[in-house]
Amino acid sequence: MIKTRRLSKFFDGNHALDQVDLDVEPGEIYCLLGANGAGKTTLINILLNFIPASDGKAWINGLDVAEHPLETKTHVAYIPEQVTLYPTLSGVENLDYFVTLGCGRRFSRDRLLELLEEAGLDRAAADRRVAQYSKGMRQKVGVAIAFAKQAKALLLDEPTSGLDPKSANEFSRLLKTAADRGVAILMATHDLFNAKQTGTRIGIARSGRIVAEIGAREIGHADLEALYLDAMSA
Amino acid sequence: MIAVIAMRDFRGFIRDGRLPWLGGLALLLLIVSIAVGWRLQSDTAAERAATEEKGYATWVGQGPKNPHSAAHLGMHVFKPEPPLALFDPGLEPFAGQTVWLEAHKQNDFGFRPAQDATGLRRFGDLSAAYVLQLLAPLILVLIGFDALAGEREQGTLRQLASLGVAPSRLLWGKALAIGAAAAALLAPAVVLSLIALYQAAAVGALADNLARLGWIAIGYGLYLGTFLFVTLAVSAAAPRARGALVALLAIWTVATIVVPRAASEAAHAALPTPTRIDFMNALGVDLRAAQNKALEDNFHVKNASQLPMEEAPRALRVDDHAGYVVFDKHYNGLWDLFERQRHLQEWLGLASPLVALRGLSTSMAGVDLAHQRSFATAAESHRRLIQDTMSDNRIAAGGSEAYNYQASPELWAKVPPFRYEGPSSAEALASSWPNLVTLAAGFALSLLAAVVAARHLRPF
Amino acid sequence: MTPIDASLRAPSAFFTILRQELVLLWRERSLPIVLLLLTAVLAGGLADGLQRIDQKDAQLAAIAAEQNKQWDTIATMLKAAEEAKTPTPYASPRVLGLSPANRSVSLPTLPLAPLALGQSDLMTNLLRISGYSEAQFLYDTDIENPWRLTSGQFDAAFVIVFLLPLLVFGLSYNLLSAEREQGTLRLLLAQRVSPASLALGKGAARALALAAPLLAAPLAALLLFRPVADASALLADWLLWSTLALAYGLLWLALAVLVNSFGRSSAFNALALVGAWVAVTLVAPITLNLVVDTIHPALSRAGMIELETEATDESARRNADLDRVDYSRKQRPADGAAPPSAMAMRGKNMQKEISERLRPWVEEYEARDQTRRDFVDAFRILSPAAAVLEGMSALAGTDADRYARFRLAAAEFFRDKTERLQSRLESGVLVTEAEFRAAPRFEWSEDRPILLLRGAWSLAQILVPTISIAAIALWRLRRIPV
Repeated sequence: MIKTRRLSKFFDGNHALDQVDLDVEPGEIYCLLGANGAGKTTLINILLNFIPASDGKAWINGLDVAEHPLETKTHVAYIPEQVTLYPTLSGVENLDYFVTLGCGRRFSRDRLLELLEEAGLDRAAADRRVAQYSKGMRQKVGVAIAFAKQAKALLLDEPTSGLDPKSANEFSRLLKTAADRGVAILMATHDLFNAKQTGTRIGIARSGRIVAEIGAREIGHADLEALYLDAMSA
Repeated sequence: MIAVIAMRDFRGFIRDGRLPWLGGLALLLLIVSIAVGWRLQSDTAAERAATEEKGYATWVGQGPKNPHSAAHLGMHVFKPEPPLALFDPGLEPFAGQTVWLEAHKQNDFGFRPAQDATGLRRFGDLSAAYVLQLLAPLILVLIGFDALAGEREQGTLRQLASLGVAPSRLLWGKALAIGAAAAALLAPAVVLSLIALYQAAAVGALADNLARLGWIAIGYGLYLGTFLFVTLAVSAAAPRARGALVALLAIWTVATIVVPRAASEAAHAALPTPTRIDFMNALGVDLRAAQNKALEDNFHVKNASQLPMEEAPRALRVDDHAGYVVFDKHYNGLWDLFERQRHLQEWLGLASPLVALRGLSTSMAGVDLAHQRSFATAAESHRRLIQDTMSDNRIAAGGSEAYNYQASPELWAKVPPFRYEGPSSAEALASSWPNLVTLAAGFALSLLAAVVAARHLRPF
Repeated sequence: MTPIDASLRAPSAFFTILRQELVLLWRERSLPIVLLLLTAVLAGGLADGLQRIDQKDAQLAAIAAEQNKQWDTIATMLKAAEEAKTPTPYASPRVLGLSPANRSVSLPTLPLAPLALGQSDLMTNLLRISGYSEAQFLYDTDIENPWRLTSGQFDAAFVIVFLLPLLVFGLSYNLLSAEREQGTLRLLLAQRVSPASLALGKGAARALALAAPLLAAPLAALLLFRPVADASALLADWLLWSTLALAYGLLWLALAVLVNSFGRSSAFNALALVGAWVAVTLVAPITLNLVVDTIHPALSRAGMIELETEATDESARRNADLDRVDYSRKQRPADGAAPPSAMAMRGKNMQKEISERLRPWVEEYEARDQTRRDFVDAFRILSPAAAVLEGMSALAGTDADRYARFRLAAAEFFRDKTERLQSRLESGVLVTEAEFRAAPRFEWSEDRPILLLRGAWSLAQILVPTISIAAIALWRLRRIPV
């Protein structure tokens, strides 16, 4: 579903991404672990066609992201680290706008409220202006957008950073539900614990390369930490 | 400490390219404007002097002629351009520059230089005053908008606060840096103006013109100082640099673009200028009445045709003198109206220091209404001198030949060439000190605003 | 996942964004504030224009009424004298030239005049044709406080040329940068929206909002307060005028989009836009003015005065023997012919001689003036502000060009009149009522195609940069920094 081959990106001669081959299949939650500057966000930016790749190719649902920038976006949903919404609009109005743009059609208000509820936002909050939302509440609107699009692929950039443990836990459960429905999820994070808990597969990125890849169930938490530190210092 | 802050900021202006670019552009415009003004002024002055001289020569060389016809030839006199007009042309482009001293009637000023210009002239004239009035405050805004708001946004304001830098010191340091940047731009303009002044001013008038330049410098200093402290006040109060910039640009637009025009239009709508037709009709009515009355008082007749032929020269003189009173009434009324319009405009324009600055600058440069009026008055008395000289000659010659009397050519030289000396700088100041007060008050208010805003400076 | 027809998606995204933008701008108050400001300054500008043009119209109407009255009075006297077969001084040929009914010629204002006052405060719509020469026309002005002329007008054209761009900036300087700064841009572009359609939707929302008062207010003012003689002509003029205003607004909007495509901060965008505005509206026109004055300087008026004094002196010398009053001469013309008085002949001779002497100067002045205007017409493309102001003034009939054409027409009338009169005075044949009534009067004939052409030329000069900037912006918007 999410696939890259020899994907590279140079900034002023530095490799932000270096020949990355990645496959995330439906139902998988692929956690990309790495320190700041490891190339996680660059990868997501290329998958969203925000920046062009210097070399190599990337596909979503079999479509080349650079050649079909708009079409691929009907299949992919993206939840940034900070889901920022229009502060003067309510949660449901924000959802309405993004969903209309994402799906090309309007949803009924009831359906929008349903989506928000599914994402864990209660009805009372849905009509309040987003200016008063917590980070977790805004993130739920982001999830509702992904649900509404019925996206086949989900890109997440540090989704749990800054969330309290309870919200982070709730969020992980939501992701698992999505994966169970057959969504391919790529999550960039530097939270080992969360990666181990949520992911089905874990990749470790360093200096633009994926230096290790391992099934989440195949490894204990302590081992993962050792592997990560090892990969970082190598 | 203030100097340290100022030095850092000044270096910042240079490094981020703002000062070199903006300053370079402003400096270029200033130098071009002064150079152009200089050249234009010397050309015009020479040409006008030559024309006036030739006109006088024609007058003197008329040969034997009826003095009445001679008075109809009259002469054209030009308003001399004051040396500082090269700094601020003021009303010159839009006020008539010459007047025809003709028999029987006081003529209006003709020839507004802007009449010869293309429609582009309406965008303004490139002069040092234009650059300093419009562009210099904008440059202050663009250099200073993020002085405090930017530091807050970057987080460096917290850092400075934690080091124990008092907000007032920060304010003075910033003011010093921006002020120095502005001074770096202004210094060449002042030097150029001084050189031009030395070249252009007549020897005796140099001291007076230096005094005028001094007052101009004080006026522009207060004006730009007002913008400097308003900029710092807004920058201190605005939460973000972006907001500070937008607010300051709005203030600049209102103060320099909107208010001066709006105040002028409102003042003239409230105190409308008569149309030429109305003015001339009213003048004509009064003129006829006054002349008929004079005729009746002096000769006890209702109509000039009832007079014996020999009385014609004396009647003409009586007629003219009756006219002087009426001309004075109407033209003084018009000048007074202009003056009232200007006063109202200045009251309405209190919202912008530019209105007051223009008043002061044009007055000190010798290109305002008062100077125009002083010249008009001098020109009119010269016209009356011509007229009376001609009439007296006819009366002295006796009225037997009536209109057909021919004066000898010596008569023409009895009229001296027109010489005019404008009001002194002290007189100019006497009429424009309220503007100076307005500017000083504006400056004090802006300073107060900046100090208060700095006292309430939030570091984040 | 329902398949979606790709062809229907782009417009729907466009309209979704457009609708959303209007809501957002309204909620964050910037739209109501800007609309209120625009409406207020437009209303002020229209009021100012209407007031000024009304005053002008009243003056022209008063003159016309007075002249017609005098014309009628003289004609009536001639008629009475003819019927009574008594001689009258009004039958003298001089009446054809010197009657007060023949003192000035006037240029009517156009329906759109209040929208752009142009040169109407500086140039007069009344030229005196009683002077010695056409050079008189270059003197004639209305009485006006020079302060007012220096301060400039506050008409609708001023509002559009100077203030509209700033209001456009107020709404659009952070068109994309605000989304980037608040973080919504990433989420937005992760949807099926291209940066170009995002910018187009946002731009269209602003354009629509601003266009409403821009189109409605001037039209309302025209229909309510101006005489509508020819509705279709008025609408055509208004349409072209409004298109100019809109194109100029779009130019600045396109520039805002372009500046936003660089992905810099909102503060940088505001700075860049204001810099461009200063360059285009403040610096470029005065620089162009300076260039035209250097390359094609206007003919010196001092030179004209010199020539005029010289010509008057020489002509007075040549006609010195006519400078006398024949006190024995009968005042009333006898039946048949009225030999003109020496003074009348002197006046006519001098008028002819001086005007002929000055004519080459006046013609050269006008030719130079034309060259200067042609130069500006061509090079004002460098300053869209100048182009739009001139175009609006052309359509309003207040530009220097129309006043120059008026001077030329008046000069032609003046020459015909002087020549007619000269020969008639010499012949001394008395004037009849029928002849007096049929005497040629000055009639201004409007050259509408020229007005429309000048307006269209300005429009073309605005559209070139507008379309170029929009094209560059769209090209840059293929991908923007997120």
